[in-house]
Amino acid sequence: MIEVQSISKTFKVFQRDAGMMSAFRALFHRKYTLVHALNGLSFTIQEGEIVGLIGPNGAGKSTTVKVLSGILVPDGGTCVINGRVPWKERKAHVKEIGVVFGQRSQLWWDVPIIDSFTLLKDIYRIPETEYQKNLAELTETLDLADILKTPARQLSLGQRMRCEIAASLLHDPKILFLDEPTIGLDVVSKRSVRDFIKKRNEEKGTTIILTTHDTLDLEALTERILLIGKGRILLDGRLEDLKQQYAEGSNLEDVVVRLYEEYHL
Amino acid sequence: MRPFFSMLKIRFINSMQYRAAAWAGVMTQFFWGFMELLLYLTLSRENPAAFTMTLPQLTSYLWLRQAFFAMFLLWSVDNDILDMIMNGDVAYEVIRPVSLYSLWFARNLGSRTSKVALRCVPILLVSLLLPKPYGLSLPPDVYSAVGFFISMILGVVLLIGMCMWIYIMTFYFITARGIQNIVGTFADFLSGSLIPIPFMPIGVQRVLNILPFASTQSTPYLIYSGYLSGTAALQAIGLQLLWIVLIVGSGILAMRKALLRVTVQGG
Repeated sequence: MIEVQSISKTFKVFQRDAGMMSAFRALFHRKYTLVHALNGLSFTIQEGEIVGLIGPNGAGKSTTVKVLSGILVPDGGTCVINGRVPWKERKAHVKEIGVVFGQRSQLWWDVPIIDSFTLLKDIYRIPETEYQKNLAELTETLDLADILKTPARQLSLGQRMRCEIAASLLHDPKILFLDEPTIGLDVVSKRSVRDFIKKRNEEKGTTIILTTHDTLDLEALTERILLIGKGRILLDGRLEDLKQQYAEGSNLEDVVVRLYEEYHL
Repeated sequence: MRPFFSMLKIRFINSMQYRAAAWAGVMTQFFWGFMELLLYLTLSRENPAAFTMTLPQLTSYLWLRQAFFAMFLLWSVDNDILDMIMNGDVAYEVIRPVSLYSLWFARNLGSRTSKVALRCVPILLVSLLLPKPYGLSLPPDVYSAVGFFISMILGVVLLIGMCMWIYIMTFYFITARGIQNIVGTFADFLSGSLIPIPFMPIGVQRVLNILPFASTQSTPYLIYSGYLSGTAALQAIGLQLLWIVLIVGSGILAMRKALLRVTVQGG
């Protein structure tokens, strides 16, 4: 279970005017503004749920994922995941979670994918038999058989993303965070990623927290939606209810647009 | 230890692919080795009194330095790590259930050993075959050989400990280029890789011998050739150990602190 209670996180953002003079002045005195990325955010997620985090760019979705995965330490508030505070018991916590950042890569660029996987096996201390079992399963469901021996740099984005997802699941985590997992993928790849996530949740009961800008992702995967804006939870509801409330038709994109408008995002 | 060795292995495999770079490195190292050799031969002819080492001691020093050059080049840090810190991919490193310090330590050790593994064999072989006193001589006795071996391992640990400090500072300064340049220039001089420390004025020698930089490569090479032996060698090894405790220890603590205030760049 994930319990988040009024967490906040502030970043310093440095700023200066254009031009030589101000660049010079900034050598001695830097101006910055404080950006409240998270501003008293609270929610609870039960085991086995699939939850979609939505909100415009800069709303605090990625920051939320980073706090929950123990990467960032919030300035205030509490967060308990399966009985642990992520940033206090980092090692024990991260053993039980998997994270996919759609815009970053965890695979070694120049070596075959399988070498990256072996490294992860050793880092997570996965027993050999369990590793072989998980690997075989992931290879089949994500269709990786032909690409395991290829270096990451020679894969297409869709192929690479399937490998990234597999890499995050080798240690069979209880919770999976997906930060824009379908970004930049073609329609077919998107669909296969979605199918896989759905199946993982249904068959293994993995809790899934997903951030996305793609309404089709939401439609295919999530039942519950958290709308984040200005560092707060603005809305926490069932996808079905939202659809009925905000749009007569079934176009989810319209619903999201209307939501953003209503909350002045 | 399994994560440590596995990381060491993958980093090793990863850089073993750069064979052309390795051969170019071998050529450069030979070139430099011969240039330095000519320089010091001239010096020994013109002013033998200024020569504080014996010629075989010096030539051994020069060739060892060329053979293990890539191991002790302080500023040649693992650029992948700097990139990760600068562009935010470090997020993926922080979600692993191991200490980031040991992971990156292994990674560095892997990349440095792979560079040296490809380069040192031809250089050592050829320099051993060169006629005396131009080539690499064997250590004068078994104590020097054993001392060299131990001191070399300590030197590598210490050097990577220093290198880790460059990464730690990158967490605070975003870019490492400035640190790399400053540290690189100073370290070249202070570690005796520009001029062997025995050739420096006595006062400078005293200071340099205490600083950590001499403990990286100068100490093992001087032990190898017998320039440092007996008590002096043991003292030098003791100093290496002391610096390792201080620099690696403080690095582990500082890394922990840096991670608490880590900012992931680029959203």
